[in-house]
Amino acid sequence: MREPKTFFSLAQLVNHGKSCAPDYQTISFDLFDTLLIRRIHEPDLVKLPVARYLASLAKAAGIEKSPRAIQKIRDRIEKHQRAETGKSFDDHEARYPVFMEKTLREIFGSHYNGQLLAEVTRYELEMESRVLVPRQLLVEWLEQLQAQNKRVLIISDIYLPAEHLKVLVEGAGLLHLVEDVVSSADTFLAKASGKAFPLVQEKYNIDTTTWLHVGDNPISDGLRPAEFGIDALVLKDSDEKFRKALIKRYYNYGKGRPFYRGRALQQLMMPLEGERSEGNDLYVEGYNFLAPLIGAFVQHIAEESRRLGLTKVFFFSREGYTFKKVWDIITPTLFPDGNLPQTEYLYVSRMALAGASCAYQGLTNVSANIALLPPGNKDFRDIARIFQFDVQALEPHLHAHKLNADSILSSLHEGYDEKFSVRFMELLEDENFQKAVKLQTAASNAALMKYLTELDLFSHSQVAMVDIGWLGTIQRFLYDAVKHRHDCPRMLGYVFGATRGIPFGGDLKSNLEGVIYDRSNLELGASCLLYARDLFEEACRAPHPTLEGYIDTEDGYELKFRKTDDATGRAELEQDQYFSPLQMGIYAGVEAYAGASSLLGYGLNDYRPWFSYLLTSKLAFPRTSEVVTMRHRHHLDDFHGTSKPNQKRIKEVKALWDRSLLSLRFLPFLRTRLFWKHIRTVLNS
Amino acid sequence: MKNLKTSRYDITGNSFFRVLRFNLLNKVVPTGNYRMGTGLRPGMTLLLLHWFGRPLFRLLIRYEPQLHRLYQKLKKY
Repeated sequence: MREPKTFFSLAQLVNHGKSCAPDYQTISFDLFDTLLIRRIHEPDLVKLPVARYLASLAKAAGIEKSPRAIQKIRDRIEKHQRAETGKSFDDHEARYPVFMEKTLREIFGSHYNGQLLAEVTRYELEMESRVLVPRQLLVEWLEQLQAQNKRVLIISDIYLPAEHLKVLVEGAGLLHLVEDVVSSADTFLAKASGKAFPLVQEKYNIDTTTWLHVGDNPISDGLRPAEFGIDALVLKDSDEKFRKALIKRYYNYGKGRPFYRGRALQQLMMPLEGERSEGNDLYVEGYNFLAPLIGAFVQHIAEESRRLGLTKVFFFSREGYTFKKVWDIITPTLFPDGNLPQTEYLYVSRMALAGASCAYQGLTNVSANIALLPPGNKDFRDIARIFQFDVQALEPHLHAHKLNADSILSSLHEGYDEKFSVRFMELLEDENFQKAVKLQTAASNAALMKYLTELDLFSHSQVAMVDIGWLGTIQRFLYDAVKHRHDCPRMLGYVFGATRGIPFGGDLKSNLEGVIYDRSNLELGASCLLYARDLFEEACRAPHPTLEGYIDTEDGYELKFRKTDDATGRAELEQDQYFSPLQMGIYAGVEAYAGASSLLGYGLNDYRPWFSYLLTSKLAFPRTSEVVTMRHRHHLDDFHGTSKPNQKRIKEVKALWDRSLLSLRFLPFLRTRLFWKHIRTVLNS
Repeated sequence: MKNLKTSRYDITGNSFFRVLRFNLLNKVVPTGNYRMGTGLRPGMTLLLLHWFGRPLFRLLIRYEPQLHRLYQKLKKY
């Protein structure tokens, strides 16, 4: 008997294999933990998402069974099949199509059909594919072997038949490099007992003296082939043991300490082997910092939509562009039963909706306050700019209340007098003024109605509205524009962060939830989002200009976008180009997020403690290099005016993310001092 | 160009050492609800594993069968 050779690193094994390859005509490989490695330490964990999937399918069929109960049924039936096989064969093997069919029949009873088995098999193979990664050095060796006209086989001891293994091997991009794939599930003759080797020798007519086998199990891939006269190389990869020891601990600690759940998620998201693992600083931040946050945000919305039975999700432009893209990437993996609402990207903006919101209710005090909130806005001209009023036509109404378009209405500006605010309130109560406002904004509202009707808004009773944040102004204006209609749906708003500077309406048909941060919940970690709101806006922004308004035309409506050929448009383009690697990192990251989160079976609430840390460390206590990399270069906001407020009245401390490189690097305790101020602000607000 | 993970299988720009430092800071200044945080023993285990895991496993893997037998014996007591 030839002694199998053991290697403690893959590189050593491959070098040896390459040097002795001329002596062999056939090289067979073990599949799992040799050619392909799993991201997770425990192969059985892949079965859990399948159990959750089956539970959701069963629920749809009116059968209440928990994923745990389903997993138990599967384990019992598989165990029974192994015991039965053991009566006739040396190996106690199982065959997936057989025990899964029995499992499904037991769960679904009369609801079972062949299509169900095909669907479940497809999902199980997809989940397996997601956690499998081909080993780069072995792939390169396989390519060499193919070029040398060697016969290459894959032999695996597993419950999946060869046809299923081929799907996995093809998914890993290796199928064209091998002659065939052999599975113990087809014959119940496995490598473990050594019976697989004579079978393969006979089937493929192989000379054992020119046959080399490579695998990771000292018995199945070392001793057994050696007993049959085959040279064997056994891989005991210390790096793989190290990697798996880490993920095992993160996963297990996460069961008792929720803080580790998010860290386990990120450990699972890490690219392995030949997967793209490099990028510039922005790509890395997109992948490692923003992707988990955005992934969990979108996952939460999908979960809420399913729980509340929402039938459509509208993603508001322009940040909703990224959220919708993330939705399209993650939901097929996270919710394989397909029980999801329709989605739509809605072209909206505060500026475009502001006018339309006044067509039926006129200009309200709250709407005017929102317009005067940014420090750059000070008078009626700013209000008119935002709500797209014709100032000249409204001047007689202003004069009737001893106001003019330049009367200062914001207390932050020089020349403000309280009497102007009182007169402005009286103006808002003036019916003639409101009639004029309604008349001016009627066309914009009519165009909006046509647009929303085309997007099917009014045929749903409950819809979700998704946006980045912060006051929920877009949703507020949108609801104000449509609430007069009897078929106006209930709008459930989900924003990344809700600052609630102006309380969100008291209407049951429109509410707002800050998913990652909500001012109404005291969470200091999440409140660090306030340090760099613009970062999130710029990171998620769509590559199209902002919407300026809805134009009513004879044959329908027209969406009017902001021009891009001026200085602001060019600055925005430059910003988009600068943040493009960040967005690429986000998209690559959320793809990994989907597989990892699906495997872990966790949701946003499980990840919150980790996100709390992530936001604090990255936003409130960032490294100087992180601020320099991630802070935006340009940030366009048409809503904000250009007037300079009285500096004494705003009393603003310069934010950490606006500080110079020198002060970020050298000012002692800068982050601690600002964080202390931040805590006081959050606690007092 | 940067790698998304370090050679210690740690997150680039967010090493476990940084995680531990913030957990320590959280004991003094309220920086957020970490829901039990890292814990001393799991935290130290992971930190040491990240730092010394690679050479340690390189050494121990050669004695895997012996260690396995030792673990089995220890389990009995």
